[in-house]
Amino acid sequence: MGGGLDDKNGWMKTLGARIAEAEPGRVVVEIDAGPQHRQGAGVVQGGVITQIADAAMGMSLATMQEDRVWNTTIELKINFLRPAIEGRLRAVGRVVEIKQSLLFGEADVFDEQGRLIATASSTCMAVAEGEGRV
Amino acid sequence: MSETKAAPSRAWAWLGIELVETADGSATVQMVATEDMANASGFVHGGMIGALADSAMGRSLRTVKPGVVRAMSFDLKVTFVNAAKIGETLRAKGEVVHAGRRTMVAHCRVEGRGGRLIATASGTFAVTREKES
Repeated sequence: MGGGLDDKNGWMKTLGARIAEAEPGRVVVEIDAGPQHRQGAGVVQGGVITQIADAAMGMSLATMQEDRVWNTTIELKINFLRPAIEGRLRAVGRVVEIKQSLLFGEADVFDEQGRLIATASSTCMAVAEGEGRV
Repeated sequence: MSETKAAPSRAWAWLGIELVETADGSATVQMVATEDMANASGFVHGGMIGALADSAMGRSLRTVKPGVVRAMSFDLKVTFVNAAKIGETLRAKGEVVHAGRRTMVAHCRVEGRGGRLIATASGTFAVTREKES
């Protein structure tokens, strides 16, 4: 978020991820899974799925924060429910609750057939502009 | 209110956990937080809330077909969102998210008075299931 996507969100370019949908409290992050995302057993590597889930949660929370306040993940849990091999993977983030300094998010990740492949939850900490590294 | 009144385990009986209702893939249980459940700050101890959430999720597994013969939690994560007060009735709804042959995943919301969100939880369970008929 903020600034040019290439400069500030280099990971999205690296992974080929994009923000597919965004509305208050809900952001969808997608990738088109291919060989570059797979591990040795031929399925999409868990960290890749975690990355889009984390982003979807963090961005969903950011949509409900004040201007010039972002958040950073301080804790995350994910369950991988079925393997993904290729096709569009969609991480749908949502807000569970927002407290003064802590924010709670959840995300479901679906494959191209609409099957649930992972569920995640995270706790994030609010970071005001100037408090972090940027 | 439904089914049997007797608690399915000693732990449920000891904590005062009751089954409220079940549906396909979900179960709701409740417990009144007693003085004996207080932590050092005077709020409900997190472990009690964890036990309630685990119970709701464990019970929800029993509502899917083919049935679950045996289930054991091997992972439980609880996020404490708001403090719960002594005397408050805590209601936990467990829902099955994934019903595999060997493992199942459930989520849970624990609510206090007026539906205030107390905690969310997720659990992973090792299960033995009945043969598909």
